Amino acid sequence: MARPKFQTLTEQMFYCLLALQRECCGMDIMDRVPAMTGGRVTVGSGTLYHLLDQFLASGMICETKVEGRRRSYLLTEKGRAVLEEEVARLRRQLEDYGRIMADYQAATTATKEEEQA
Amino acid sequence: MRKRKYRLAQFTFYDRTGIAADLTAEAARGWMLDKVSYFFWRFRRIEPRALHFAVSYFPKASVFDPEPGEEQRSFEEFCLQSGWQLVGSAAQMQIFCNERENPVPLETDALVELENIHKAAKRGFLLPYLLLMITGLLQMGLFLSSLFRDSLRVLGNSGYLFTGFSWAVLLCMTGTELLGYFRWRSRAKKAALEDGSFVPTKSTRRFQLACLWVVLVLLVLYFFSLEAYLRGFLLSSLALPTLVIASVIGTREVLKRWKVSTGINRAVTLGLCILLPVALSLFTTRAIFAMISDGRFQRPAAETYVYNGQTFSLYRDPLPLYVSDLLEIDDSRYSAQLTTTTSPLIATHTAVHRPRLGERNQSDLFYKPDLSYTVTEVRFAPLYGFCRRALLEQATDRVLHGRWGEYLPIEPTPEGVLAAYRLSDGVSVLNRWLLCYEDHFVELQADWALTAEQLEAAGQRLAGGM
Repeated sequence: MARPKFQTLTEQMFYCLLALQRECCGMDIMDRVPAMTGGRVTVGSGTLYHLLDQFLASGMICETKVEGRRRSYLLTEKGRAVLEEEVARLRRQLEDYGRIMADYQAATTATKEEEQA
Repeated sequence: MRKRKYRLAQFTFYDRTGIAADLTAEAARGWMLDKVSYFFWRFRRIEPRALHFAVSYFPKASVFDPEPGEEQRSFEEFCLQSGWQLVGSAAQMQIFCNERENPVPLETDALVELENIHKAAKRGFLLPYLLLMITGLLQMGLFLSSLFRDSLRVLGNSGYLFTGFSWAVLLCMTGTELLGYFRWRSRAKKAALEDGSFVPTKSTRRFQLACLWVVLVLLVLYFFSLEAYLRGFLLSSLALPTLVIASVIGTREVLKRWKVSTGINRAVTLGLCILLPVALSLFTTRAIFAMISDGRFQRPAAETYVYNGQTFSLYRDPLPLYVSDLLEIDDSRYSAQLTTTTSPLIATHTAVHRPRLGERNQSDLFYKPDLSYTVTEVRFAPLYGFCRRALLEQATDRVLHGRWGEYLPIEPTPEGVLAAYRLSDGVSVLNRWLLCYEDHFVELQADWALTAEQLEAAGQRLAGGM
């Protein structure tokens, strides 16, 4: 079950893009992601470097500043669209979950009532 | 106490789990990775410490880079800021160490890591291993075709068996590595997509080292099993590929030291990979021919004699059967030459008893005839039936006077001989016999038709083999 690149985002990808709503450099992202997630998600430097490289190559982020080897990035329109699409997907997932669980609970309650009756 | 140590760099390219675990264990024992070179990894003495190691891959790096490029340096700095310090690299493979107690792992996204490893593997691992495996397959094909075509010659020669075994080991090693990689990648991809987990790599280091040791030990045994005059030949045939490999790697490293660009270094090194083997093959072929004509690879002769202005060798090897054992002639001036090729499976002794050139002519042919015989000793008993069939079939493969040969059974057989045959070309019988003993065979060829008494005498003399 191959997953086309960036069609769905891993947590690391998601939070990296989210962190780049504001211009920042790689090190800032490494600090921002744990801060955004209460320490639940961390991004390793190896992963982050390669992610930034891939995001840059696919036009999801752009380079805004280069100071020596310190580079800053910002989310592009394409990146924002990908991020929003992912959020919409997650929302749909949540909605599906909510609907199905509500139906299931309703069915369970009805069965119990029938049994009691 | 020594301050440095070297270890054979026998790690699989993608074995990030095995490498990290190995280096962590070395640091705990007081050894820190100091330098990664082509064949060996160098370690320096440190205070035993609990350090964290991780391997990452930088696909854009090349083995021909004179020094890390800007992007690679950015990557190193990036990692350094989170405590991961580069301690060694080999082309795309980058080894990092972290002194912090609980560092954030270098790689935290299994899918990203997997894609990155695959990109690096395509350049630094898969292509060379695939080429090696194809070479191994071709060589094994050639070996097997020789084995089927001329099985006794191949099975009875340690050199052929060693070469065939070495190619089989290479094929096994490269096949294991490639198969291992694709199996791991498939499992790792599944896990990464399912729950984002990392799948540890499986180290094949012990298997690889065991293979190398087996080949090395067999090579040493083969070397010492050879007669002294052939050892030089083996050494020179080993020296050729060693020289090519050393020259190619040496040139690449010198060009890197001279800061020659990646492209030029690659072009020069690949050019050398093609030209050097061709040039060295031409040179060594000429040298080997010169040495052969000098008699360097020949067993020293007992004496030499000149005939028609050319020098010929004459041997005085002890043989179990001489012409004079069968005929009333003086063979004291004959050459008696015994050549032996052995393997743990079969030993083949070829004896040639012939007069000097010029001392035999058509008129006295009967009085100074040639006699030659090959004794095939079956050292590995289960091969007896196979050898017998092979010897009988060899005759049918031989074209004699435009016809296929065939061994016809003869009676009575000499004492101690289980079965005896005489070669026929379909019209008449020839002066060639095959005698089958309990544990060996003799193919006998004479310039005259042996009588039943002479065959009996020959059969009895050759009953003990060589």
